[in-house]
Amino acid sequence: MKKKFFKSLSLIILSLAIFAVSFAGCGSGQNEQNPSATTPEGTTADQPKKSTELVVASVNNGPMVTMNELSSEFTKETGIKVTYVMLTENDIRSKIQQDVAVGSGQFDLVTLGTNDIGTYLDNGWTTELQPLFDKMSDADKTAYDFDDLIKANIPAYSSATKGLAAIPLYGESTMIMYRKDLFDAAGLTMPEEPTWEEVYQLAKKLHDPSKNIVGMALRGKPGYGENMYTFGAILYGYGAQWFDMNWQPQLQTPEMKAAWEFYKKLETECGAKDVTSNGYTETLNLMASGNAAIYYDATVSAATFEADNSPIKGKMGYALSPSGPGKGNTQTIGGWGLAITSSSKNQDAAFKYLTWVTGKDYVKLVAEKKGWINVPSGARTSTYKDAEYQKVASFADITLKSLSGASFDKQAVKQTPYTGNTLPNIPEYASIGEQVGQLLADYVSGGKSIDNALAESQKVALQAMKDGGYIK
Amino acid sequence: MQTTKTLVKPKKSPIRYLLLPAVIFVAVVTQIPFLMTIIISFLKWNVKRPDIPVTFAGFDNYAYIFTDSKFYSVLINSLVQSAVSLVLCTVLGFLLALLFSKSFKGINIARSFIIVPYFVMESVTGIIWKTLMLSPSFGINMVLSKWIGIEPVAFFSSQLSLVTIIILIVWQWTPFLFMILLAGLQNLSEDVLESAKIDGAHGLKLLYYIKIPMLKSYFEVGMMFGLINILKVFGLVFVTTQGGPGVSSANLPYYVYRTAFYDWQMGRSAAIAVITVAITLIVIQSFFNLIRRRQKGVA
Amino acid sequence: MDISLKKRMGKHIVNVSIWIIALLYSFPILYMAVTGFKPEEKVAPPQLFFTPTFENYRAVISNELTLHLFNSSVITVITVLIAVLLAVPAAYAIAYGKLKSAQSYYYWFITTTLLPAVAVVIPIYLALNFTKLIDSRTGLVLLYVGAGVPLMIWLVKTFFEDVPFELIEAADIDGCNRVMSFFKIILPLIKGGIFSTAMLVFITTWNEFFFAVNMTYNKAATLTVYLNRFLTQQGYFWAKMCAAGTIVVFIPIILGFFTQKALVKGLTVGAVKG
Repeated sequence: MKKKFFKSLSLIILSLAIFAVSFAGCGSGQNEQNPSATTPEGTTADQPKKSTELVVASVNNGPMVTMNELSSEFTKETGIKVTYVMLTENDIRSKIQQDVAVGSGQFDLVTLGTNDIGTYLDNGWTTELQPLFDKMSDADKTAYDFDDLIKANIPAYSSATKGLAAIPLYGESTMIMYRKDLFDAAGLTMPEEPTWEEVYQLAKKLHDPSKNIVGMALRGKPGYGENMYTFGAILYGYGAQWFDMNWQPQLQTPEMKAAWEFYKKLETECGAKDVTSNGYTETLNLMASGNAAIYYDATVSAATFEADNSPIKGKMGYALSPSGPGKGNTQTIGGWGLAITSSSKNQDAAFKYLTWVTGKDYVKLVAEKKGWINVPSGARTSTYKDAEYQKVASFADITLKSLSGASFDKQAVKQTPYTGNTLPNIPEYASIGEQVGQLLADYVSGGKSIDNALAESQKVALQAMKDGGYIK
Repeated sequence: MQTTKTLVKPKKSPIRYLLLPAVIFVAVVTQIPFLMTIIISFLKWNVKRPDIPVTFAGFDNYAYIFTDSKFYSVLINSLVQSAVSLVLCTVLGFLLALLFSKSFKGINIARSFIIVPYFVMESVTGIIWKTLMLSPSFGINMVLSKWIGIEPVAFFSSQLSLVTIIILIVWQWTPFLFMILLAGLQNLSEDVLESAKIDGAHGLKLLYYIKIPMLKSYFEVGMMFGLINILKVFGLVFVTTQGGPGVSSANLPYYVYRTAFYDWQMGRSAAIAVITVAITLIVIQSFFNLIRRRQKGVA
Repeated sequence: MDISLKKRMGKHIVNVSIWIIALLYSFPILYMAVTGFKPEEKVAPPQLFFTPTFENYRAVISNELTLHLFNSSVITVITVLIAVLLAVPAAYAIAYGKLKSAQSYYYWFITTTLLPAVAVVIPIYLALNFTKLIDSRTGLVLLYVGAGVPLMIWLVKTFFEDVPFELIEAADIDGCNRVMSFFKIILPLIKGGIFSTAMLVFITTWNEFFFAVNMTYNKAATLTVYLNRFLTQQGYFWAKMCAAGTIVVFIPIILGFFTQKALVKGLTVGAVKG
């Protein structure tokens, strides 16, 4: 009798608990998207959804924030609802990776960095785009004008075996951006095609902590998308590379050592204090707030400096990515592409949105709503031919020149087995780059000697190559 | 604990069914996943390379970890971080408790100001210290060093990043020990203190020979609870240093995370997780034994 | 000078320095709250004088913040309710169930609190994904209950043992059945203890970081996730970041303020008994 009572009591407790757990899922904040699955009472839940909804997982860079805002226009045109999940670069990369790896299908479209794009298609995580473009009607094809997309970009947005994998939302290269006014005041000039050594000399002369001016604003925060992104350019400039043609890591070569030493010299003698805590955001801010003389980073940053509310608007000069003793052009190809996940159940709608947001009309839409300075850069040739754009973007020419001069497969002095420049296009790079980036920062801030750091980096890369089956 | 046992006749009671819901729930949420982690730790599994099949790897992952110098750095970081933080929290918490055990008008509010950091979430603690306090360009760090006339301290460099993490942990967990020890001080029996004073114990003597031994059980509970939580610290590292530069400020929980979500080596990450749990158990058990042995020794 | 005056002066100096120490200790929080009222251009580098503005607070109280506030509240409240529902009977059974293995159950629950969240993150991610509970409040509640119940049992059991056993025996003789004696005699004695541990669960759940970051995208993300993103998303808008941070820590601090006494008692009742 008593036993039965306690048995049923415990059952009641358990079911109450389970009920309460599932209760947490219902009720709504805003943006409630999926009311069907876990609602126990099902009163509000059973309204059938007629309209298609696309979920885009996106990095929260400026151009994507604009995309998010303007997606309501797409909904007006087509009735397809678009929801953005926007996170910071590190966050979004791992979220997208988790999502596609388990095929959970949370996202229909994802933004990918150039180093991931090929891998994702090769792994079957995203959809081949070429067949979808082939299926377009002739009228749509003409309107879209595929050939208007900047040619140099395309290899970076394709897989070697399966072709086109993503469409650039914006393309970027790297360049030197500097304060003309400070240079003039000091009687210095920046060559149009400087060398790294020249940049260092100039930065050193302008470095003046007492006036809150650092000579060089260059990322020092560890991370494969942080310090390794800009350091990658220096590395090729000094004639180093990641792997030789047999996939043997090349991190202990004299060229690599010279690049590391130069980078440390530049960062510690001309950079901000505690430089290893400064990433993209921090260095951009350092420059934008008028506290730095020279800035080397992605070309898209120029739009921030030339924006209407910028204190350094009109004071900027631009130059090509510096060369080193090893190699002339060190421009990178980077940027973000939009791809369709293969687990998406709305392939057609997703493609429709993809072509809408990368189309010519979208550029016009942004120009109209947000001003020409905010249109996606480095994606379409026609943008650069537009007189309106040229008027506001004093950096347009040099950006296009940087992009067109960049090479996705001849990035180093010697031949490489991989494509992609500062972010080599192999699945293992995220892990290698992350760890080497940490070691580089450790070296810069004085924690490790150069030889130790390089030896450890070599070990990291070697292990990754073994794990990945590149070498025995 | 012992009291119930002696009073209660050992007879099976139906009340035991009331344990079931909790046991089921907790087992499903914590134990079964951990068993799965143990299984995963024997797999070779790289999420980034679906073309390489997931295979059984035996003890390869463990062998890899135990020959990896980075693992030992992280292990040492973890132990140093926990031990130093715990000692500092306890000492500082006790000193503050002594000071704040005085009573005057408004003391309760003053005490609350000490306690506040304990209720602040890790992400906020990390963010405000990283930016407002320690940033060498714009933080209090800059203001103070300018005032003194020195270079701002590079709190996030290789040399200091672990120290910085420890500072943050101490700031967050001292209030907890403060609360516990303050309660202990307030519960001290006045009679004992009075008679000790009559016997001529004053000041430090009184503190060392009477007060501290009387507070022993408070120290134990506070330090135990503190240690359990300090060993698990993750958010502070994640928000401030991301374990870097290098692995100079990474602890075991963060290293597990990094191996899983940057290297995408699930097997290796699971193996580090299993080792982390084993080490946690060993540390807690030895701490527990230490308390027990000293208890016996004193009694 | 008169001795008693000297003594009183000395006392005042001690009291004032106690206050100074207290304020210095919580300075980072106070500084954050104040910075939230600064205009953005006075924040970095910090400037002492400024005209307070509500602009930042107004700016961060957006739909986004309300969504995450809603998530945090729902998740935390439901977690606490379930934790009480599961833990109190279990603690009762451990304390009075006349079980041979009561002690081992008790230690088992305590041991589960040692488990770092990272040690189970992969299987839990896979399991939640399999059950479509990724980025859902339900998923988080499940996880938090799993963490909250052991903590509650740990503390609540000591409260139960604080109740003299004679009371219960007397009640039994009076003819109260077990359930009635629980509600009539035991519960009133320990409701303070249950309340304080429930608050502890509330605060740890509200502040939980790891699962919140890893098991949600946006829809079910809690305030702690939102705030972590704020730093990187908003770049250097420190004033807004501080405004958001102040709003977010407000609830646990207020709760902590009112429950600290009960909390300490809950934790130390066990300590005194060993």
